[in-house]
Amino acid sequence: MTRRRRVLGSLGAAAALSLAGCGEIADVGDGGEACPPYDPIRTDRTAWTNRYGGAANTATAAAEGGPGNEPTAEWRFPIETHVGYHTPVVADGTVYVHDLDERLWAVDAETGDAVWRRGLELGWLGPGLGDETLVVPLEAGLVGLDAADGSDRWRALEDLPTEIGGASPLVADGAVFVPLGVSLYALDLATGEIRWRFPTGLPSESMPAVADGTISFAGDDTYVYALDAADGTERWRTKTDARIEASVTVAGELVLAATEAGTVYALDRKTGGVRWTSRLPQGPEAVATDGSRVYLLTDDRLTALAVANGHRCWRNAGVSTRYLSGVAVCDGQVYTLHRDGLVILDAASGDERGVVVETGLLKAGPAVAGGALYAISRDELVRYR
Amino acid sequence: MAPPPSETRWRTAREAIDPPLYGTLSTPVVGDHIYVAGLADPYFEPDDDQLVLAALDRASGDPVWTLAFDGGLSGAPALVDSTLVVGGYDGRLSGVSPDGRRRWRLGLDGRSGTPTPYGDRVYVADGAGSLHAVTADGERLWRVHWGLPFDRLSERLLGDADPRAVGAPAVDERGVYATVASSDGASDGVVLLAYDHRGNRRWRRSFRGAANRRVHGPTVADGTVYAVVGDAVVALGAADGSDRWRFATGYRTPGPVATDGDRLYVGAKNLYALDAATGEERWRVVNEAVQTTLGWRRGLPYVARPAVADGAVHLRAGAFDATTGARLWGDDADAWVAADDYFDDPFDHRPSVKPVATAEALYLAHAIDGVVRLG
Repeated sequence: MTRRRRVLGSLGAAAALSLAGCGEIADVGDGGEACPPYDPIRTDRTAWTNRYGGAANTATAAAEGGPGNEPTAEWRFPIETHVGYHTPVVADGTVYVHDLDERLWAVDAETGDAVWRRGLELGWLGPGLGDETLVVPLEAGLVGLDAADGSDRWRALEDLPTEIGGASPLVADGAVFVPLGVSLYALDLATGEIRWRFPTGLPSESMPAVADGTISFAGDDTYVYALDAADGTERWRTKTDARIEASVTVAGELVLAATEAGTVYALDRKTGGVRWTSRLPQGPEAVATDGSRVYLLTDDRLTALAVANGHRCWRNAGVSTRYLSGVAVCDGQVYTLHRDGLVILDAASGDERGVVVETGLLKAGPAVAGGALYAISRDELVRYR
Repeated sequence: MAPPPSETRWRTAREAIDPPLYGTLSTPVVGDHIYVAGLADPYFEPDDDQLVLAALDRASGDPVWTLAFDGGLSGAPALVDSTLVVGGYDGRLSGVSPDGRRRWRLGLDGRSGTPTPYGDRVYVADGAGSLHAVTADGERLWRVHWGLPFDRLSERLLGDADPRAVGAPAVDERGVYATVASSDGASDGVVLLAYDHRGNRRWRRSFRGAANRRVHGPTVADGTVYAVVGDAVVALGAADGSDRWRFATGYRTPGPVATDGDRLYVGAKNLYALDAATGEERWRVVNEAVQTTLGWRRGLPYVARPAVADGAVHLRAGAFDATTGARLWGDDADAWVAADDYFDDPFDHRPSVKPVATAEALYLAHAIDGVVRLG
């Protein structure tokens, strides 16, 4: 579990400065409340173990985990594939990436050299990582591998095909949580055995989020559920207006979920009660939150809403989704991918701070971990720092 | 009274009827006999294929008579004043006597939908956008056009090659309610229209959301109209079309809704029971079917209109408690699907089983088994 505490001191000053900028850009139309000061929750996470960072899908990394202010490409690792890419996962000096087809690599984060390589019948989804176990979606079901050498530990759910655009497995609390078929499954991370199953009867492309022993889960079913992560017991459910494809995230005392119809719901973590809703032109492709803002990437813009009240603090139409591009937040900066390269925005104002020009199309990422940022450019895994 | 579990009284295969009962089976109509029609499916060729209306003995399932329709059928039979009214694929509405003789024919403006009986008349919609009130003797009382100018123009220019999908109208003492798929060329929608019993329009509501290939007729009960719009069920005031509630199912092609006044039942992959007043989910029966790129596994989605009677909700070859959703008896009758992967194409979002419940028995139109009586 990520330890969270409010940051005081230097970041507080930055937050005060950002207030003015925010007010100018914010389009506050529904109630007149100003966008509250930028005041992110501190994280100490320096690994990127799941599709959207950690167990709560916040896609946020500690300052020391990030690539700094002026990252440049440090090394490139070739991945030639006709199939596609996924966001890599990174921990303990190793980056794990595969070609959605048949080759999986562990790459040394410092040198960019392959540590090991496995041949597998891979599915079209990214892996999850925890307790030295790498969980990789196959064409059907999942495999648990020894992260050190790539050897098999277990296989599970092999009768269920993984689908394009499905949810990647989430590794947290010694378990694997994965929506597959028409259920959410919880597997033992050590053995792959099914701990429990929560069937909704409909598929889910939304990655669930785990925080404090509760898993928040959504999908085509249009509800957001909170379940006991240990045994799958339902704690609450809240109905929304449409399918939910984007990942569910947790920000402080709120569960955040955005529907295909573009409605963003902030729900009380304990009760599921709706604290606020906000509207986007469409459902987001990627979601990140630092506890002060929730960043929502839609087709042609990145929008930042205040976690406290759902007001729009800024939006930047200079970014657009590329393939599997996501959003990562680190040290007051928001990283996302653009046709020209890696874009760095000021988290408080949404202003562009820089672009790391990349001639090859950036296709997947970013992942921020261990003092660097990782993305897939054309047919290479690239490390920026 | 629910029939006892899994007791099949009789089963009449499609081929046991002469000519065979091909096509998409209609929901059985229970009268002196059991009446079932074979309706045009995507493979129907009007020039080569024949579709039939069949009467089966209630006690034995033996065919009593069959009537063949060279022009095909697209509207399920309805019973009004001892006359069976069926809708022709060729745009002709037919009245058939209880002994299987054709009594009358009436030309509609397009492919016929399923008629809905009301007193001594039926209401029927057609694929050209007209709604007709027709007596049991085949006399047209009135006709109205839904009046979507774009559609009428395109029909005139392009002909009736791709008529709009029509469902069975719903009726109450106020009048008649019809749904029609609409498209402005850019986005799909569903238009819900209300008329009085003399054909005067009372209100019109349009909704964005795909109407799917077969738009379902609405359901009306206790002053509320329920309709399927895209993946959602909407509830409107029957008097003025005002919004009551909306329930998104998350499944793109829900089936038509049924109600017992307290709850609304809809097969939208899962079977849902919704509070009729608020739209809140009361219970669901999870359908374990999994859709893969190759087709469905472990079963097929629930999309039939559930048959509700005496505190039981009948679906497939079984029943659930209307209050709790607990299975009372029976099963999904889809061992034939579970035995192998099932490709989407023949399923095409049609129900594999259409049930009708009476006090004595549950009758099924079963895509594979034919017509079945349980209990």
